Amino acid sequence: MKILLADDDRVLTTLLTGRLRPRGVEVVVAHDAMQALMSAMRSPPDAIVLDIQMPGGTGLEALRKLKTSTKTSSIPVIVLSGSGTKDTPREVTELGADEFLLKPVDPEALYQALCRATGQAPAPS
Amino acid sequence: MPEMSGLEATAAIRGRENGGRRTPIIAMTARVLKGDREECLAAGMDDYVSKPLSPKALFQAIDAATSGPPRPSQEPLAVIGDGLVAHMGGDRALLRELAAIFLQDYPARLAAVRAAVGQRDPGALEAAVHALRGAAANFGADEAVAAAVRLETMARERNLGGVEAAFAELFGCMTRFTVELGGLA
Repeated sequence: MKILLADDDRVLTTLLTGRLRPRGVEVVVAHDAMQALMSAMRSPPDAIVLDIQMPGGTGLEALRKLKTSTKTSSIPVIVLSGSGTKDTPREVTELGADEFLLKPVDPEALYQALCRATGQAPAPS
Repeated sequence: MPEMSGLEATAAIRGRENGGRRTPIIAMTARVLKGDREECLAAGMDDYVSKPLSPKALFQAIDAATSGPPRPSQEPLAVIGDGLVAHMGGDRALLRELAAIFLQDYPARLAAVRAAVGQRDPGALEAAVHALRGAAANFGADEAVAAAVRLETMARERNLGGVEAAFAELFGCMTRFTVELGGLA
């Protein structure tokens, strides 16, 4: 499985890369929304993990673009957020996100969500 | 004072004491606004004298702060969550790498929070605290995360009364946390 991980927090991207790689997940990292969009268009991954609270408030806009572009609309997106109201999960689902995970992110929970989103059987840990 | 406020300096000193001997700290301030005293005590100071200084009041405060048995500093806090190594899949090398990344980014993230507090800019403050909180939350760091949430809430609600004490508290928590992280890195 190859995923695109878009988050500006280097601690989190390093943590998730370090924990997902041994499970056979190839992780491409983007540190802002524009970089994420370009990467997804150039080389579509099997799933996208997207922080919607990156600086500039561009995460939701990126989600909208990913879900409306024919090149990327069928790629599952798992949304991460450091905070949110009770409406946030519904809002991101309406924009086409497959799942919503509140930070701090448990790497194992993210792995399970990725397997659900891509229909892959989880590898034993 | 320039460079670092007395509240921040107190928080840093309390952070480094981390449960050890508590050095009495007495605030001297020319500000006599309501709430100043509470702000100083909340930041971990022991007493408060206002300027212009009356020597008698200062000596009384020093006597009060240094008499009797030494007060213990606050309980040492296990700032990094117990489950952290497990969270890292038992991978200590990964934990060290994460600690190093956090410590590399930390001065700039903290400076952004301090600048936003100084400029009383709630928008910048919310964004800056959010980034710092997110990075710290990866390590557990419950105490620092809770202090950051309080500051972030003030910024979001555009209610910056007491923001300096809240920042000093966050600074103290972050100091304890980064000292512990430094031991890992």
